[in-house]
Amino acid sequence: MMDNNRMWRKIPGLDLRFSLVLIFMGMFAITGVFELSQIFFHPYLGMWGVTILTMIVVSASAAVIAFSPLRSLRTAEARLDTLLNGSPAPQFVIDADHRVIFWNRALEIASGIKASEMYGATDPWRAFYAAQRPTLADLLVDGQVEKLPELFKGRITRSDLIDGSYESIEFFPQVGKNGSWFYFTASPVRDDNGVLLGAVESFIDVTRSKRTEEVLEANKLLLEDSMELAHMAYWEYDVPLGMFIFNDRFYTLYCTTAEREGGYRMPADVYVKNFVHPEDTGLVTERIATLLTTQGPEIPSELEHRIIRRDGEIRHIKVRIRTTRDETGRTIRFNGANQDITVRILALISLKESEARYRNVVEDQTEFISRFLPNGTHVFVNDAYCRYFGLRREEIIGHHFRPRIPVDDQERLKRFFASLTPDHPVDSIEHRIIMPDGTIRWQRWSDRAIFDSSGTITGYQSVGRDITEQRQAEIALKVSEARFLAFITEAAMRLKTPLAIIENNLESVVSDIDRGNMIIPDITLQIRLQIKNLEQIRSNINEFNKAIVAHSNGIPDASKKFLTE
Amino acid sequence: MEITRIDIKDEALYLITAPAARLKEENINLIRMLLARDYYVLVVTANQPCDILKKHYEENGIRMEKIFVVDTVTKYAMGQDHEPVPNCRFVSNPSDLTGLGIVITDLLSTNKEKKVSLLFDSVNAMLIYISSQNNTRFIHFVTNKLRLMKFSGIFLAVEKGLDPGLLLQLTTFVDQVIDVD
Repeated sequence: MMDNNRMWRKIPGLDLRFSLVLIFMGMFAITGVFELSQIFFHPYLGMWGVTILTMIVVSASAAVIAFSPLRSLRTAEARLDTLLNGSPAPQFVIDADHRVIFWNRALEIASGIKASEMYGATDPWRAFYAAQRPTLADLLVDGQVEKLPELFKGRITRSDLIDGSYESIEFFPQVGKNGSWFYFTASPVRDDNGVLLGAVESFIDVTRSKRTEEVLEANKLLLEDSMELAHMAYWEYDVPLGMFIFNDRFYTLYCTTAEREGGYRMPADVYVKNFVHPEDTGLVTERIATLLTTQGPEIPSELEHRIIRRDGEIRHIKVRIRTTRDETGRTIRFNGANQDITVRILALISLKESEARYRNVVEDQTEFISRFLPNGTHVFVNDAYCRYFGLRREEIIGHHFRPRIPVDDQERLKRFFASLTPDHPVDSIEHRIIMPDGTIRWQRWSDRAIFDSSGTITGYQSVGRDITEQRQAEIALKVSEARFLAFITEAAMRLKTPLAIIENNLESVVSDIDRGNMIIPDITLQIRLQIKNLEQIRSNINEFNKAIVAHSNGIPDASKKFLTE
Repeated sequence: MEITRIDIKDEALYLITAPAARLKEENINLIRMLLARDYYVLVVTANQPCDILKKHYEENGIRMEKIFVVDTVTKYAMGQDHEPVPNCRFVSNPSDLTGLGIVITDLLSTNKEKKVSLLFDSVNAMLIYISSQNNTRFIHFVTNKLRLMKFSGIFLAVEKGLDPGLLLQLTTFVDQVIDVD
């Protein structure tokens, strides 16, 4: 702990006991001289005793008389000492020889250097700096104010309050665990005649506020960065003046500058006129009027409108407004942020156009398109679907609509839907349905099962079409093919094999003739029979040709005649 | 399988297929085999005239006493009636299925007490004159008649000369199909 008494003893006349002894001794000497001169001119009995007594009394009286002001002075000194040491601001005082004559308790704690260690020392810098250098107080004592900017990185300024004083804020890495920020000021100390006695330097720890300031600055930068990323700018509205208060960011968003707009303040009507899209001015003006006149709770509101930037480009912005009202509910200010949402709006417009195109495509499809839940509830059907079943969309959407299926097809359809899995989500099926009028129609459906992440079916999407005519054509074709096959089979059986029989019969006749064991009538009979057979076959060929001609198009008449006669 | 190895059972019906060139030969073999088994044979021919048929049988040592012939082609070929021939009945033409059916029925009824087997020569020759549909119907009629009267019957056909669909139908009318190729 600092020994204040020892420190103050360095100043003569300020020690109470020493002063009283001096006063006593001085008065004792003066009284002695006076008494000795009286004795010399008027000797009397017991004069030495009286003289001694008088000297003591007078000297003691003088000491007593002097005690009171000295005590007051001492008390004042003690109060000053208490005041300086009790100050939470670190302080030190140096004399004109740069010797430390005061080093308060706060500085002891901040620097970790005891006052007793610093008393009389000329290196107070080591409490603040790693290398030797003058403190601000040293420079003031030496009158080297021109070196201040060189030695202090922070902005050092002359104090407006005390002549000759300077102040600055700097970071002192040496002080504290992680360094400290100090606001410090130094003032020269002069006597009544203006003679420089020394200088006092005080420090105020502003580390916390500086850190807060740094955090605020970082947050501000982050906010600025975020606003830039979000294409946002903030603004305020001065209600009494009816003016917007903008900023550079706001103007950047509007592709302009404060210089071009004549400052950061802009009347509301000028803003609307200069920047709001003509088709949206009514909307914006009305909202401003509403904000100014409406009374009630402070509820943030939003507004979207178009602007025309100074470069002529039309942009879409979203305005978020916060209104502040007084206790009577009157609007006293509102502020907000404008966000450029052009990209999103354009994407939205594009999406809507795409959806419209998609819907048109879907609605223009002749195929039936439907989406339905596993329980059969329809969530979407297109016009073709509605037209086909003769129902209105609202009669199907949200309802468990299922066409009547012939019993023979029901089980097959059930197996079909059961076969759709995450690995096999799409397949097609042809089946019949019973129309409301009882007619049977054929349909072909391509069904896709939709699964969630757990593999559970959440719905089906189906695209189908009526294939009744196609089916009938296929059946007709099959019938036709079957008939054609039957026809050519019949032709083969009635032409090819009989010819072989005739051929064999004729060979038999020839063989009999060769062997000479056949009479003429038998030969004649055999040959006649085979001629008859051949005639019949020729007749059969004509019949077949007639059938072919009857079922074929594009055969010239001459060919028809040739084939059938 | 050779004709001689066929185990003809009473009241059974057979469809025997053979190459066109062997129809005449198989006809004779069947007659010989049936006679050997004491059958009376009712030959329905749409292939050979009765006179030619008898000549061939006789040349092969087959006696005609136990053979009845229904001739569908002689009258058709000659364009006039043939003078009556013992054990032979003439039908105007092979497409006269009604007349043919009557004659067959009559002959079967007449020989009801005898052990008779019908030999139909041939399914393919009939196709010269009638459609396969009518041919099938007629054969169905004849097979029904044989079954009702408890006679046996053999239907000759040219191998590979019939549509598989028709052959399948004929198969259902008979008890066994035998290919003598």
